[in-house]
Amino acid sequence: MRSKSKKPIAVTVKKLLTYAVLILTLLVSIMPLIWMWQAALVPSNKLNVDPFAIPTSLTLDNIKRAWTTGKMNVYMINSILVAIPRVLGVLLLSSLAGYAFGKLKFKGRDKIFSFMMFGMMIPIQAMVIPLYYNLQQMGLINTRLAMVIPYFGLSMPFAVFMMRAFFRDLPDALIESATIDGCNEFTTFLYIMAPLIKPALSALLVFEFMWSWNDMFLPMLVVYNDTSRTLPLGLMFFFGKYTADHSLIAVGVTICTLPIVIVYTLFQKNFIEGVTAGAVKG
Amino acid sequence: MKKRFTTIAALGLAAMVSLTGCMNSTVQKNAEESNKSEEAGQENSQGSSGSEGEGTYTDIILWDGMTDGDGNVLMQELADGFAAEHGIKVERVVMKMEDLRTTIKAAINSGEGPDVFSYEIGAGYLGVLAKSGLAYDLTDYAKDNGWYDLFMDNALSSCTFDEKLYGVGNELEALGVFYNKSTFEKYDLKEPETYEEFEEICKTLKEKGETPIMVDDLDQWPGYHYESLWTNAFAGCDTMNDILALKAEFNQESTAEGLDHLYEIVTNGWTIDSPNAMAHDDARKMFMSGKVAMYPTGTWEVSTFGSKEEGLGDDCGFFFLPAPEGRETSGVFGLGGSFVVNAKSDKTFTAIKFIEYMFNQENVQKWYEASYMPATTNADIDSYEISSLFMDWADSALNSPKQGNNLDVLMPTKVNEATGNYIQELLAGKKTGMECMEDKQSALEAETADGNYEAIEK
Amino acid sequence: MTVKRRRAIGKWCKAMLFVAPALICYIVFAIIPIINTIELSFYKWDGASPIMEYVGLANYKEIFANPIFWKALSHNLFWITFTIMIPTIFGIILAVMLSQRFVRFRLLFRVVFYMPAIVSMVAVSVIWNWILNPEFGILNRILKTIGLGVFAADWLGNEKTVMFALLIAGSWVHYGFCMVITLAALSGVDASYMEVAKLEGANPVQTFVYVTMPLLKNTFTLLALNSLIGSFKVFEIVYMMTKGGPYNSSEVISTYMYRTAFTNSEFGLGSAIATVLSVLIAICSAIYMKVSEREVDA
Repeated sequence: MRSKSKKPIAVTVKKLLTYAVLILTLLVSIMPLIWMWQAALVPSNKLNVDPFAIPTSLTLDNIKRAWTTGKMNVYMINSILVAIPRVLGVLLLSSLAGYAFGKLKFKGRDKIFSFMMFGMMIPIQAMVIPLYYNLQQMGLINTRLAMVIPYFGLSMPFAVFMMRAFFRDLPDALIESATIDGCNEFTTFLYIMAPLIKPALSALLVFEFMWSWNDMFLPMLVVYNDTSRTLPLGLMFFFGKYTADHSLIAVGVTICTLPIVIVYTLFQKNFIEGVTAGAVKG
Repeated sequence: MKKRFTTIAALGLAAMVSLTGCMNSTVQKNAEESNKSEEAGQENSQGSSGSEGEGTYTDIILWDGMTDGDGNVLMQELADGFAAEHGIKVERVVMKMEDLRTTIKAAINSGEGPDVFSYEIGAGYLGVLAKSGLAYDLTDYAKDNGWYDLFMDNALSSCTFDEKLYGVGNELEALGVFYNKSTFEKYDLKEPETYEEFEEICKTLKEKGETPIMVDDLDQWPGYHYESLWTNAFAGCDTMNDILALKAEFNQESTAEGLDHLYEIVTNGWTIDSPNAMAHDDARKMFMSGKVAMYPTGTWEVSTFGSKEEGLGDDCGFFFLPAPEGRETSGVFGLGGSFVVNAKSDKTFTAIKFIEYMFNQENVQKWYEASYMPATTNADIDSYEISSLFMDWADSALNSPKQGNNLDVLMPTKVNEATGNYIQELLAGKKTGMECMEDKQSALEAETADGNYEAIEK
Repeated sequence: MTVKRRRAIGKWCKAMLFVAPALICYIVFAIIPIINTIELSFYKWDGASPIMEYVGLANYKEIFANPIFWKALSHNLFWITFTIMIPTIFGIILAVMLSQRFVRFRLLFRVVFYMPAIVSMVAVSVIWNWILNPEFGILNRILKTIGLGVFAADWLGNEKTVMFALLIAGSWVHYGFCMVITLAALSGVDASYMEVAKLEGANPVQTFVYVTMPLLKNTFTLLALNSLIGSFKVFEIVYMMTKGGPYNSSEVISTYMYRTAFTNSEFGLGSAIATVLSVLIAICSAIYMKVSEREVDA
């Protein structure tokens, strides 16, 4: 209180500085994206001359072209069809395991947990060659499943880590009272625990959706058919096809980025809550 | 309790170990299959080449690298045409050559591969597939069906390893310099006949405030082509042939001189400030929007640069990089790639017929009209409708007394990797032409010793 | 005893029902491939040939003798150092600023700051390739307009600037994550600590140093560990923007591994690089965790 009344100028300067930094960072964060999105609407002959000029006319032709002849519609559907099962599967498996690691007491729990955490340190590049052959043996090459199933294993360390941290912080009393009410482990999990971990699930959902949506390395190797390509793969292919056209590339980038930005904005409140409760305290 | 845990852990470990056998067994299984299919393949090829050579047409899968404009349309037309003619399906998968190269071996090994696909020629590329038994032996079929007359000599010789034919060169490409005709007319410039004239043009354009020539090398592979162009212009194609035949070495005065002249373009300010920072796609855009007057690259760009919507249309011209006064100019030629049949496919009959179909009299015209020059002898150019730019390069090609070589398609991957690096170093002024050529020679010697390169006799 | 024991076993089995699905997937898709990779690293294999030749430790010898490997490793170390410094610290500063009482539109800032982190690397590389382009790129133009033309550079084409240029793009992606995590930690900081500090007459700097900082220490440890592991793994941004060039000046271990295995078809050698990379990450993480634990104890 005292310091506030004493140094009003210092406080104002501090406020101004804070806002200056925040607003500058805001611009740096968003301008490249906004500029890319607007470039999608600029006629290609204008954009090819100078991609940074201020647009004088706008058109939807680029988007139409990219969407149909550039097959962005196919890529988009594939991305969705890959993301949904992948996210659901990871959420289910990790919340089950997270509950056991966080709330149940059993022999070897911590050892198994550390064994799972080991996976977080291993780069995907270190697994990709054998992984390819494993997927091939399962007959999954060139299918959307090839971009889903491996992640039930590969995404597990982070997902389990996060869910465990969250479950651990839930009070034990909840389980005890549930047990008294005649619940077994599964019904406790289903009716008592699961509803409480919504924030953690949203956070994990955003992370996993984001990774799935943007995933490139493994898909690049296991899928080469145009009908199964997801957006990032499609986008890379699309660049090869329309290298001479800045606008179409901007459209491709827009189609790839906007949906994920929307998903994030929708879930951001729960996302932050989930991160707060989960990752940090772990 | 502790004991129990250990037991379970041991069981788990045992299960894991047994599962880890997967990898080796996959490869071994594939190996057995490859042997089997090789035998089967030989029977098959004998069968189809003999009198009872009628097989049945089946659905096939084709992988090709024609992602762009006219080439893409052409390949789709060929695939659809063949499918319609025989009432089958040709499933076409288009991907960038780089991705195709990354996936093809695993795909063939795992039985997921295409029946017929395009691939780079050269010992380091197709040669590797041939050696590993992944490419189908076409020798007998080719002999019995007149392929040696239909295709140009080098289209087949460059796909031949250990005297067996493993593929067919698809189309002839050349490296040269594209130029903007209106810029040239504006300053009253003509296509250069000698390297000195070429330098004059650069000087004049520079004085008039234009950017004379684009040299871009962020992507590294454009560097391969600059090297082929400048070494061929200065050393001449005979010397280059000797080097490829391992009768001479890369590190000699004339080749180094060529590279030093390439670097002079940078030091004289005839190109953009920083070639190593310029991406190829952006470089193309700059040329097509008229911001640079000349662009040294390959004729695969003819259809794009010559197109009226995207490119410069009739405003685009082409010449071979001329040799210095008193030396002989020869174009730099190479095959764009080859078509190869998968040795593990059980549809080799249809696959081979498809290759044949693509180069029949009627379809060869389609190649030309899409601005490609198929490596066959059955073309009747005069009757085709072809763009002025394509005419220009075809003219240059026909008038070129000798044909130089595009080096990168003939070199093993590791030599190309070295090239990618030292050309960037050259353009940054970190290495001299001679140092670059010494790098190349030692990389080539190492690869030759490892059996990845064999002398090419012309 | 037996009843107790049986009950314990029952409990173990029930717990395993929860854990097993995740654990099995993890073993099949992560652990087994790693073991296979290690196995493959003792062979010479071109990815095509049916013959895999056992070569013992030759692949490892070749890696350690190759100057490009050491160059790539030094670039990884560069990336680690600066990723821990720039985006991590900047993210923490932003979070601290954002959590001040008087800041309005907190939600907007928070949402937007994280946006670069959710965009595909393919898109990021397109955006930054255009921004950094020496001919028409906006960065050089801005520098020239504000009179700092001397700093305009051929960012991605120059061995001296390429790592910094990549780092700028990498930081743009990463600071949002650091901010979100820190923000989460700060919201966990009990507001009463702050009040007490204020009542005790501490100025804002003192409050920050004596109250906020220690509370942030764990967060910083977490973020730094994350950056450490992430920096060893860095691949997409380098692969998409420079492919390791010019002349290996931006090569990192994972691009080197990718090129060796998939471009040059030396799968055994590539697997050996991957193995070395994994071991490096494991060692560094272990050391880091030991050190930070000791600090926390002290």
